[in-house]
Amino acid sequence: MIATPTAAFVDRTAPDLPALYAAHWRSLVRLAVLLVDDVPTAEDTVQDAFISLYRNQTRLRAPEAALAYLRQAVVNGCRSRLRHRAVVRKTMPVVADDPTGAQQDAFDAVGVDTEMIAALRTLPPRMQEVLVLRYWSDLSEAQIAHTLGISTGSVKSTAHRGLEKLRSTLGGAR
Amino acid sequence: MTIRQIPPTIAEDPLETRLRAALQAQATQDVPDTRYPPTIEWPETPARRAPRAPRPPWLMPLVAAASVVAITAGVVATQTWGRTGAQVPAATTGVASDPTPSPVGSPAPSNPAESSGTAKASPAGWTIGQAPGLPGVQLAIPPTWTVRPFSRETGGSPIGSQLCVGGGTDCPIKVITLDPAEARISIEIEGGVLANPEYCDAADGRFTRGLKDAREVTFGGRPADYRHWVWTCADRSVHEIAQYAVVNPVGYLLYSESANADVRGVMADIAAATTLPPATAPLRLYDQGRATSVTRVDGGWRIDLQRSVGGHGTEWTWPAVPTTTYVIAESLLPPAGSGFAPETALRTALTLSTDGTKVVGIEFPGG
Repeated sequence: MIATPTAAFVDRTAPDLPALYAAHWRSLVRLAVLLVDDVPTAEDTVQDAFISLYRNQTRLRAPEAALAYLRQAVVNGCRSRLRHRAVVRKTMPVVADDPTGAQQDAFDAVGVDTEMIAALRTLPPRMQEVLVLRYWSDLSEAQIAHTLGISTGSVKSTAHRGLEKLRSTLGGAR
Repeated sequence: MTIRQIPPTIAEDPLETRLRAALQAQATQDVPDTRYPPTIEWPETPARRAPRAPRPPWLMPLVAAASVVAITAGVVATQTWGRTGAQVPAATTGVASDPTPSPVGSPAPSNPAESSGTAKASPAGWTIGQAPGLPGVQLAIPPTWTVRPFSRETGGSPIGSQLCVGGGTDCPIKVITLDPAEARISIEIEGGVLANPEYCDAADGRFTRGLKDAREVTFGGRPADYRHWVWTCADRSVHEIAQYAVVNPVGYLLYSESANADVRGVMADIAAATTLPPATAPLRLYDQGRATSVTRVDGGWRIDLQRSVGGHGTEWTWPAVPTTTYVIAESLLPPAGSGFAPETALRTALTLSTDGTKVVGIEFPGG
């Protein structure tokens, strides 16, 4: 039988997981999909993050730390899945990507800036993480540093280099 | 904190505004507001945190007794002992590969295994056996402890072994392989690779964390970085983390987040008596420090890196370690014309990541 969190498990410092799940599931999946470019994988990653939080909830010092934990777990999970995907792709036959261009047309139809997203995808994973956390999640440099386990100076320089690469890739387009 | 979208600031340039809008549009298209979370199946029971400072009343006398027996055995014994996983009789300790057995025993509890280059004999009564989840690793196991596969999540694939007190659920020591992508986090971030979540409330600035000890040691006969961190939270709770990191591929971590003096003593014995497979590549997966020399070479720059220790503003210089030579490919550096001057910039604080044979990433933490 699968149990749901109950008062027996949740002490006074534990986060309200069902409430967190309801409130933040969508935004965390959006964060994940920007990192892995694949909705099912993003949803799996977020699900895993919540399960992991559930297992580790007694280690949180305060419920307020739960979202930071979830964000960190999602970013780590995305990175792990991208590594796995890279290995799988090395061992799988190559399949042509959308030869009809239908997917591209669909993206254009709803107004997504495909040129910018494509340019973003060419950046190293760490650079993508910094830019997504900064410009999607609106985290401060200190929060990004905490999430990624790097220094704030590194966040600053990585973001700067990332923007410069985007500028270069887009040919000066703004 | 709520993940939200805010309008760009006045200082934001058009590229940043465009990036922000593109991310917003992409995320909303992929996960529209009409998409609702699926029902989540919570696990049966949440994991219980290991005691913060497990110190079974019998552990200290046991370690002391083991030390006495082991030292005595080391002095008088001339026999060799097997490495096949069988229980090792106390009176027959020694090193099979060394015709002149040296005295062995538990080092001072907080003293990690110092560099020696080869695995040493385990204390009396320990067993040596194939570590679950770690091919080729002959793991030393203290008497009355048990070893089990370790995975980060219940039901997940094992990523290593955990050592448990008796047959219980208190498993304060882990041995895992070092994921190259996590090498930087594993080695220098206070708390190490398993520090997730952190030990104190991240939103509370009243906690302190710091590097208590750092040494060049050995683990399983291979060079390793030893770190001992201490966290003191606002509620006065103290968390000690100790870690041996073998950084050349294949990398390994010997790790405890309940690393009181007794546990650190046991870890030192495990590090000394375990045997790891030999390194498969010459370079560390992660390194940091300052270049003492920078030389132009074909296609890049050769540097001699003087290693430093620590992170988050707690950098320690490490002059006792010889410099390591790396070649930084030109393609890893900012392009010419960007104002980047390699001869100067490479002499500032650097962090390098490698695949074991070449540098694949470089960062300048100072920005």
